[in-house]
Amino acid sequence: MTQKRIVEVRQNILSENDAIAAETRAALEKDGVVSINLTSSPGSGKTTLLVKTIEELKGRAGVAVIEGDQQTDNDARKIETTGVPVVQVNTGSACHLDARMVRGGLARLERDSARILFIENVGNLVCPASYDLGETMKVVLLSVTEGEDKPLKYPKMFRVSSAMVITKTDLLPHVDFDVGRCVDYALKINPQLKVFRLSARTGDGMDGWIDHLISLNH
Amino acid sequence: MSIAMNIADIASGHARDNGAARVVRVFVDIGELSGVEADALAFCYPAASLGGPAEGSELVINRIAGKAVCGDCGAEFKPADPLVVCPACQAFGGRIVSGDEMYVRKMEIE
Repeated sequence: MTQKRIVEVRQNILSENDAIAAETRAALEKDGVVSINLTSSPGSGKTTLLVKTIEELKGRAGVAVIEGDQQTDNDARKIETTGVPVVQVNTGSACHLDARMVRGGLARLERDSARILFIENVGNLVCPASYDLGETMKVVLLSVTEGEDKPLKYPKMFRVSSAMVITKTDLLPHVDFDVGRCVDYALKINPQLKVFRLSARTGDGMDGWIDHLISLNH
Repeated sequence: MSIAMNIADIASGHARDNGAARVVRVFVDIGELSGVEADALAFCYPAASLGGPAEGSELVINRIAGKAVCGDCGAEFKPADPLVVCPACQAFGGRIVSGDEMYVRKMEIE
């Protein structure tokens, strides 16, 4: 007859993920690479901002990209048009990237001259907040066509992010989005959050964002 | 779902390490501020644990209450998610000291 017994485990549920993330972080830091984990709801404009950002960083900082999506390589192909190294990582059924997927993507990425690595996460404000990918910082995007109270609805994502980018500001005349209230909510969740407001389409507000990225690299 | 799969993997690994045939119960600590819903986790776990020694095991979820310390006045308080507001001095953004954790604490094997 088998005996039932209790064993102590005391293991962080994400310990394996976090160990891989720590290795990735150390490897990127050693190479002088700043890595940015871009998160948002689906359709907030991560890929559009990325394409515009890459164009503006040309000649100022080398860029490489890991594109995360559940399916398709559509976004990677959009990034490819800019000429920077990019790999697509498909998460399949998973709603977020994890550290193992990013490590696999990095192994395929030719990032020799890259000083800034963008990791575009799957569009989702919940699970990506819990997964360390080995990034230098998380940046959360929120477009003005969404609810201005998203920082209150998804507080963890805003709590773990270093910066928030309010996108599609060229649409502000057509929507009821209250930028001041959104920033107020976000800063109540995370007083250290840096806030950028921009339109990747018109280029308005891009300067501050680009300067910030450059400053991270020095 | 991936949290449930991680728990099943950890439980299966410890079962093998301990020479156990199967896992009976897994005790996890999930903080109220961790972003993981206990109901969703309980729903996913049976499917996540299929095909290993943890299959059929019971997941016992212990919710850990949130606790924060005010950065301004040092008061300790229970944050009302989503806003972490100090009840003593009304400052925002206190440091969360518990309620963010996700741990497999112990398990029962046979």
